[in-house]
Amino acid sequence: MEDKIRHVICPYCGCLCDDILIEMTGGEISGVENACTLGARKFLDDAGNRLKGPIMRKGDEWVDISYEEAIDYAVKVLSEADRPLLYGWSGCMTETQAIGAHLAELIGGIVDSTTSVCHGPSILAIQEVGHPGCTLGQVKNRADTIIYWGSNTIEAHPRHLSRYTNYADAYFFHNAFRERKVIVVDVRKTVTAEIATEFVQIDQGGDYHVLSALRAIIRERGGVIPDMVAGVPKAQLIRVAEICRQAKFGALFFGVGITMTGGKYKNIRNAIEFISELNRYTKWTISPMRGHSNVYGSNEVFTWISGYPFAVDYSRGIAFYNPGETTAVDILARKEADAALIMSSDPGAHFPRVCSEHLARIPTILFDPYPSATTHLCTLQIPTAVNGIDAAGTAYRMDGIPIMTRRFMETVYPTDTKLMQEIYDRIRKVKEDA
Amino acid sequence: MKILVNTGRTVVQGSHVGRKNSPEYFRETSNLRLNPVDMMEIGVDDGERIKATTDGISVVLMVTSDEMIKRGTGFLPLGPYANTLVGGTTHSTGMPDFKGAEVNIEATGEKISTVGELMRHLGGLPYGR
Ligand code: SF4
Repeated sequence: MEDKIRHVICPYCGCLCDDILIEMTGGEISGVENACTLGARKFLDDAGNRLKGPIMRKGDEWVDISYEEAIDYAVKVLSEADRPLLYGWSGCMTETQAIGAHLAELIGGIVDSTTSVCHGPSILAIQEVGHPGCTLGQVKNRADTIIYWGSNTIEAHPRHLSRYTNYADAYFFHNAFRERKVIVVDVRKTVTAEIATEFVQIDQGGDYHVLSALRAIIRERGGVIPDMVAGVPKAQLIRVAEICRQAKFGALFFGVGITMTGGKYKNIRNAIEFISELNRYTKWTISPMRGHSNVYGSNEVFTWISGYPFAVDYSRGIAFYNPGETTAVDILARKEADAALIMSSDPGAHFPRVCSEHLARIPTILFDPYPSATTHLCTLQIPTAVNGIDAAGTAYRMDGIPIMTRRFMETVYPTDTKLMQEIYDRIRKVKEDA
Repeated sequence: MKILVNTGRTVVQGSHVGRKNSPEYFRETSNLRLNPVDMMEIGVDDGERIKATTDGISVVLMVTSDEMIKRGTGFLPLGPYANTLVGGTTHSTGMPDFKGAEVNIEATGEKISTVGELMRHLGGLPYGR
C-alpha cells in the first residue's frame, strides 16, 4: 500500500522546512519530495539503520540488554555521580530538553547543548550588545540585500536560499531574484560564493579586521584603512559598504565560519555593531544560521527554566553560568565529569580528541536511534524513536519560531521524552528515599 | 610542510551523519583538499595519503587537489578526523579552535583508520553490527 503524507517537518537543520511530502510503502519511507539532499537522506536512510535495542559495553564486548536494564543502569550512574554532564539536546524536542534541565537540577549536574560548539559565541556577543534580528518571513518578503558571512549555506542549509532569500518570491518585489543582491564573505570560494553578486575572500581569521574596516567606512573614516585588509582590497570594501548602505532592507546571516575562528564572540560583537552602524542609515538585521533542527529550542528552554541559555551548572544547588568553565568541552578537557548523558548528538565526531578520550573513560550513556561515532566511546546506548518520523514535539526554527513536528510512522521504540521522564521520576524517588 | 586546516560541512558529509560508520562518510571526512601546487611540493597525487600532525598527534588522510583552496591551507570536512587535530583549549569561551589548526603534513604509505579504529585509539570499543 502506498501513502502520501503532506506538510511533514524536516528535522535535520535549523530551517525546519515544513513542506515535505513523504511517500510510504509497506510501512517504510519510500520517497521524499521538496526536501534537499540532507533532509531527503535523513528520511530515506532511516530504514534498516537503527539499533534494535539498547547495547552495553561489558569489558571487550558489546551485549544487547533490555530497556529496563538500561534505565536501571542510567538511574544508578546518574544518581551516584558527583559531577555528571548532560550534553547534546539539539536533535530532541523541547519537551525532552525541559526534563533534561530539571534532571540537571535534581542531580546537581551540568546541562549544556551543542550550542557551546556552534553558536555559543554568538549568544555571548548578543548578551553584550543585543540582537537586531527578525523572522525569516520578514527577510523573504522585504530584504533586497543579503550577506552570508562564514556560512556555506548551499551545503549546510540548502533550502535557506530558495525559501527565504535569493531564490524565494517576495511580496514586495516584482522579480525578487533579479532585484536582490547577495554578498558572500568566506575564506574559501565555496559553492555559495559562486552564486554571489559580490564575493569577498578574506584571509583565515581576518573577520574582525574586515568588519572593523567596514564599520570605519560606514562611519566615514575610510581614510585610515590600508590598501589591503586581511586579503581584501580597500576598493572592494568601499564597494561592499556602499551596497550595504544603499539597501532598503538588509539581512546578514552568519555561520560557524566566524564563531569558531580566533576572536570567537568578539567577531560576532563586531558584526552586530557593524549592523548597528548601518541602522543609522537604513534597515538591517543580523541572525545566526543555527545548525541542528532544535538547537535554538535548547537555548529557549534552558533560559526559561534556569535563566541561562546553555552551559548551566547546578553543582552549587543554584543555576550558575560561566562559558569557558561550565561548557561541555572545558568540563571534559579538564577531566572533571565523572559520568555523562549524551542526548541525540555525537561528540565523538565533533569534540576535540581530549574530550572524546575522557568520555571513553567515564560511564557515558548515549541516547541515539543510530550507531554513531560516540557509540564506540559510550558504555550504554539507548535507541529511541526518531523525532520528526515516529516521535513528535516542538522544535524552534533558527529565527526562534516554534514549530510542532509531525509523527507519521508507527513505532516500537520509546520516545526520548518518555525515557527521560522515567529516569527523572526514578532518580527523584531515590533522592526522596535517601 | 605547515598548513592551516579549515573545516566545514559538505553535502556528502551532511548526507551521511546518520551513517557515520559507512564507507561514504569515512571517505568524505578523511579527505583533505589541498592546493595542487602544495601537493606537488610534498609529492602526492590525488587519492594518495598524507600524515597530518599537530601537537604530537597524527592522523592519516587522503588528499584531493582543489584549485579553490589557497596555498598554505587545506579543507577537511568536519568529523572525527578533523577533530583529532583540534586541542581542548577554548580561550574561556567554550568554543575550541575548530578552524585554522596549524598542521604539519607529509606523504605517507600508512593506512587510514576507520571511524571505529579512531575511537579505539581514544579508548573506545568499536561497535560493528
Ligand atoms: S534545508 Fe534543512 S530543514 Fe530544509 S529540507 Fe534541507 S535539511 Fe531539511
